[in-house]
Amino acid sequence: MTDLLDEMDEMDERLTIAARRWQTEQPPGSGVPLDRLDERLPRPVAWRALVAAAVAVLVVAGGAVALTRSQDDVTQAPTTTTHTPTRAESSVPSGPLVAWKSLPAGHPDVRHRKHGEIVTPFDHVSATGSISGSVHPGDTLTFTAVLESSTDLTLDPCPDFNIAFGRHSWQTWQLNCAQVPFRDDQGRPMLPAFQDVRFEMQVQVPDVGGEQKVLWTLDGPQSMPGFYGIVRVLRP
Amino acid sequence: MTERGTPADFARWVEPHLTVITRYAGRQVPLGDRDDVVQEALIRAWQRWSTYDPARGSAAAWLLGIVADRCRRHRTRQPSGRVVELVEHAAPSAPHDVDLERAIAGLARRQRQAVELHYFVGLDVATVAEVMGCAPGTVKATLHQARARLREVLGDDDD
Repeated sequence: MTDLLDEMDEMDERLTIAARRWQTEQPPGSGVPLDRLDERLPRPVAWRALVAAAVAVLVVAGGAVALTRSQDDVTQAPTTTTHTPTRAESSVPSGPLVAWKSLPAGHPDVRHRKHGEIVTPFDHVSATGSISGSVHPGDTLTFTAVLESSTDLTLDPCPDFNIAFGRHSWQTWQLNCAQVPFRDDQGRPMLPAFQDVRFEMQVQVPDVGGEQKVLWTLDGPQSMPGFYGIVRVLRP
Repeated sequence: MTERGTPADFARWVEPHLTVITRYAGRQVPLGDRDDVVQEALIRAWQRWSTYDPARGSAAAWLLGIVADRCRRHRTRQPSGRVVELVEHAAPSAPHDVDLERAIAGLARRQRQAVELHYFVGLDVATVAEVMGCAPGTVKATLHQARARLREVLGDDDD
């Protein structure tokens, strides 16, 4: 292993000796549990209460869509409808929920070149979510975007994201990184590896009608993580 | 059965990586919990196997990411002041480098992670870089800083 390092030193040797000794003292592992592969894994206790609360209100249930009527009429009670997620995998997610905040896009340059290819810090991120239901022009469509990275990913710079509503509206905001409950060594927000983090999303329904594709993507120079759903816009 | 194959296929795919997975878990959780965590990680890996994209990284890095997540969840499940289970182990044949272990535990998180993955888990720098989500050069620099910090902490013991 040491030939891959830039330099040799005594500490390298001491670490190597200690590591080899430790490795030889480890009892053998238990192998692949073929008879348990389809078991449901336990969730962290701390999230059970959160999930229960989320189920209770049905709004944060991984893609449930809540619709509130136009803000034009402040005396009118909000109309809220919920929709069962249409995708089998859109069961109640386990990650923390980051509240919506309308932040102007920062347009960070996240590109860099690696082995001749353009890469971004978000190439190991997946984005999922479910968008569906019926809305009216002027409504605020809310849904949840779930981000998961396969490596620890510091959100510095904080990425932008796009929401396209059919062909009529394309808006870019900055993620609400300040409210992400995970921090790296330097106190910067981060996505820990394989930890779902849910971001509440909002977009104003434009004055259109019929079925519209609503697309959510992280903002970047190339194909970025994203998802979409179809909503029906009902004109009065 | 997943899109990628049967449980037996999965076992064959995982087998070359079991050693590093087990070592990594062994560095993150108490020995008595290690195999439980590894099994949880393998169950999770099986259930997500269809999402693994070799174009995005090596199988080892992908699996270690899952193990790291299960280790983190395992630690958060442990109540504070937990009762430690006494497990009989043969006394190690050679004395541990206790000072070094203590100094490693005191390193900054990224430095400790690099040291654990490179020396104790036995990964090359490129794979460590994949697991940590950074460039190999960054891993080398982090290891260099970690060794410098260890020398500083351990002082004359290292000479």
